[in-house]
Amino acid sequence: MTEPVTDPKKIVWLASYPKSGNTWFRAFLTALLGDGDLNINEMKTDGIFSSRAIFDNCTDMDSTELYDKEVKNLLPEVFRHQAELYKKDKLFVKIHDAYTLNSNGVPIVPEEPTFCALYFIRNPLDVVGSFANHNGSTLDEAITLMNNPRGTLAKQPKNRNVNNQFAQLMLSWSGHASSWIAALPFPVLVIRYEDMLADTFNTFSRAVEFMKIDVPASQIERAIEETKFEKLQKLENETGFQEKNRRSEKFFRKGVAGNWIDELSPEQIKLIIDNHADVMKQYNYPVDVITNAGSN
Amino acid sequence: MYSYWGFGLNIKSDIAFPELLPKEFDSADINILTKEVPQHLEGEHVTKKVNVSMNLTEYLHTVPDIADYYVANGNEICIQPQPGADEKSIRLFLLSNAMAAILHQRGMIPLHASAVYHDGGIILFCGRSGAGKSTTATALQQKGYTVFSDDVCVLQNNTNNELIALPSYPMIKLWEDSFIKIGLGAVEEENKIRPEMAKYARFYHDEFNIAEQKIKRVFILETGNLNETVEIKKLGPIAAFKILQQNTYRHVQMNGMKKRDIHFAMISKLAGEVSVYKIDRPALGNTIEDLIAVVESNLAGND
Repeated sequence: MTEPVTDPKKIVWLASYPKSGNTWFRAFLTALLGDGDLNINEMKTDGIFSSRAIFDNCTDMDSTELYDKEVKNLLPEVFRHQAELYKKDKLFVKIHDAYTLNSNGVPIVPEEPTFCALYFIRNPLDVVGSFANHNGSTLDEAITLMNNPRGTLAKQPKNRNVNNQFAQLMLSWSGHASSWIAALPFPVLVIRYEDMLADTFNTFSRAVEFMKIDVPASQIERAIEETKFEKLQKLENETGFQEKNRRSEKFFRKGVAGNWIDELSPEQIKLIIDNHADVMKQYNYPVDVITNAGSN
Repeated sequence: MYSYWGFGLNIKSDIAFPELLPKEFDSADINILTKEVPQHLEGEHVTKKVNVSMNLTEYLHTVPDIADYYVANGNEICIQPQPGADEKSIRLFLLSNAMAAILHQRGMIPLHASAVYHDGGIILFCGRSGAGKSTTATALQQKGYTVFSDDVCVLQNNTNNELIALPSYPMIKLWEDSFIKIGLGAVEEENKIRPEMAKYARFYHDEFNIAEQKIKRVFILETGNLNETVEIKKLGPIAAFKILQQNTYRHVQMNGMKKRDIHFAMISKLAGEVSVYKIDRPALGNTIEDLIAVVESNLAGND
């Protein structure tokens, strides 16, 4: 029997800075492509770009013995191989790395197996509180990371390299966004978290259409219903959520827009806006808000 | 030529391996030679992955900027170093990948485990890289136990058809962090396992014994987000089988070389004969003392 031939361009990158709606969207995809009974600990999506298990399985290496530079040089080939391995039409791979070049001068995200990318963006003022909660850090520490031009996620202390995810170079918050919304060699759809909240059906429908997933509107509606924020919170309360950072209490915290007004001081707001105003304006996030918050 | 013993085999090599145990013998089981390797593998049944391909009797592996390795028929390793590559890295990837390929080709079962002597045999500590195998073995060594093997133990049936284990080679690899956690004192630059890696070798050639040993007990080491204390649990035979199988060293090779059947048989035998315990501990913090206390209490007869 011959294997059915699938299009070699099959990876859909679900790209975002952390805490910008990526996991909500993956839960939605799981509900959309699954058959009811959503289990948030068994997402139907296909892992994360920084996964050590995927890398080791594709290379037969123990990547704890490799330098980060060596890993990043092999990653494009790893995901070309990963796409070949799968018989499915599409692979949905989450990624928090910025779109950057490795030390060979090659983009870490390979063009050849890529179908498209969705880039989830959220008001950085709201990302601060959510990211701090996720990392078990202070708001100021989250801001420092978001403003660091070489900001890195999951970097291990004392040069150890054993976690189940590799360190991920994110750049600053706006560096991350700029890297993914630049002219890339594949189509990218930018999705605002605020639109996901305010106009869920149309926003998710646009994403589904962009990924060329052919499903009726009723199926999209049902998947949205199944993955409403309160339901995800309830599932986390019942079963826990393995993607939660061990330093935080809950993964699904508030899931709202505009919460920064109650969370950030004027100084903290200024630190974000001073560093990220250009990209914020580009995506209609107000940057003249300090006086409003200061009076709160 | 240099002569060594490692992984149960007599090894002749044209490059020096300070990691291995020097030993004289009449006939070599394997030869390690520096020479040109094939560009690719020919024929059917070739499994191709990223920079690595294999069939039933050959294994070809490229580590960029370090070396190309070709392993054939369970008795030959060819190394073609890349210009400017450092020797430590060349040896490290030979010992971790090419040697594993030799073992799989010979039908020997490498298990991802460190081990110390106990009760007329050995106890194994299995787990993924970073789970704490080497740190645990070293912490026990500090308490007077003797280390049998680090990182890999080779499973075999002996001439009486009894399941036994053989050690790999007399070197323990530890992250710098572990030196601090166990209180081993300062690390030495010259013992780095690679020039830019904060992981260090500790040699124990004087204590190293190549005699086969029976396995008395297995501990599986795991860390998890949800654990707050060190906890131990005895596994039933099916759970034990499943988790031991996940600890096969280089499972990609096992599948690519079609060795699942003999692995299945050997792991079943191990799971059937030996008590297997799973130890869960928090992912953060220094829990090595608690872990050792749990292990020693278990060995003293408390479940």
